Amino acid sequence: MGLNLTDLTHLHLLLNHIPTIGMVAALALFLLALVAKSDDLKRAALGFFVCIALLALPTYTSGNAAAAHLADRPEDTQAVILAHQTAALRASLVLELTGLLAWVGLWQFRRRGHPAAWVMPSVLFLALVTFGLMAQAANIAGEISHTEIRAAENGAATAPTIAPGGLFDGKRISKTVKDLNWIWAASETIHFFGLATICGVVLLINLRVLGFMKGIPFSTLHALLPWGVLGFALNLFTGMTFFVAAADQYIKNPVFHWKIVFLMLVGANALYLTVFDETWKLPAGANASVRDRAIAGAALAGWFVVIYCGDMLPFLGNAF
Amino acid sequence: MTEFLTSIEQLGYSTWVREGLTIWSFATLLFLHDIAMALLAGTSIIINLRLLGFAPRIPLQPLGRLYPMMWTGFWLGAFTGTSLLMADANTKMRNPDFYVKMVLIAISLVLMQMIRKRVFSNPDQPEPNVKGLALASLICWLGVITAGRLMAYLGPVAGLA
Repeated sequence: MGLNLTDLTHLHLLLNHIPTIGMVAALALFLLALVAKSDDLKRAALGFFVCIALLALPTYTSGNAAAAHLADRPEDTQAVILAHQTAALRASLVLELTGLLAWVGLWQFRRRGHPAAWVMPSVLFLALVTFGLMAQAANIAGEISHTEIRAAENGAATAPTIAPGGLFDGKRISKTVKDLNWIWAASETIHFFGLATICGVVLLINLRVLGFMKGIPFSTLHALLPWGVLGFALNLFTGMTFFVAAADQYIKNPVFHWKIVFLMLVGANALYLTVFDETWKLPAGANASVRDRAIAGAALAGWFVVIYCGDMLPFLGNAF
Repeated sequence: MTEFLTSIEQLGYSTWVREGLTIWSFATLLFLHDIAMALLAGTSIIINLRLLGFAPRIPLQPLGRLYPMMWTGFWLGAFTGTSLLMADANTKMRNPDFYVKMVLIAISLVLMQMIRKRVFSNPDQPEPNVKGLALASLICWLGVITAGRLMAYLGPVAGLA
């Protein structure tokens, strides 16, 4: 796959249904689970939220590629695109928070048999806010290319409902980050704190599954997962800062898009380690199943690729 | 001093690292330097968190087996770091931040070995209280990462070739 701007625009048009329509389905499942008081359904809905949050990563990044692809559209369309980006950034940030909290719920389900009292109401609240914000972003986006649904007789775009210059305006964020050099340097430093923490957790857990340090029962290592997810969260938000501040240098580089693909896979691995029974039950001294060892090896390789792609951004591909 | 550093920069190896125009020189060394950080600092950070009282049910003794991996990380970092230093000796050797990083690495390694002696050399003793050492080690590693990362932004900074 070339991952050029045209491909990525198609991808965006495909993926953009996941945070919107997917969110409706996940919310419906979650509400059903709460009403039915079914723990299995609750866990399924929480896992659904985590998956949507992971799939939102390429949805967001391919959006900037789509915007670059439409750079020659007239001014009124550009204003709509900018308003859509602002709405999408705000919605995506809340969605990522929803996904992180849903993961916390799953982790507590596994460790204690039930999540803490504040988790489920918070997930519900954040999911509802996400849905509202995503619907707004999607509604604005409809006017980008569907000129037939624009209100004006001549097909001109309606003035966007989100004014430029707000907190989530990508152009404003980009200017702020470029004006204040320390933001980039500080974000890079935090990004590496996150990287080291993630790697420590990932190494320990997967090496145990592969058969090193067999004296450790897996369930005790499970307690380390939140540190890995904390690192993931730090890197998600600092990474989004880099991306929003300098999107052009990322979207035209295939290495960046591969990094996002592998990030989703290793994110799914964290979900696997949290919810599946097989690894959880691995006692001290025992060998993991062949399947689990294969998954552990793939997870280590996946992180290797994520770090490689991240490091090679300035050197491979065509950006920078 | 400048002449000496320049002569290092002009060695064949240093020139290849800097101007090799291949993905296998500067870029790969930098990547391996990050892998070294992951193996050494990443692992040590998690051991420190365990010693500080997080995830307390993880049995300590098996974690001692991670030391060879951490030392592998150290030597990988030392080799790649020296290579990157040789390629850019004049700039880096004039950057105070570089010396901060070196001192912090030295302290981190000493703390790592002190923890090894106290915790992992006496498997039969009850778990010793090494929270002070673990906290100091954790802070030093975060300091090493900060100093290393900021070398791209603080003091004299050479543009990438």
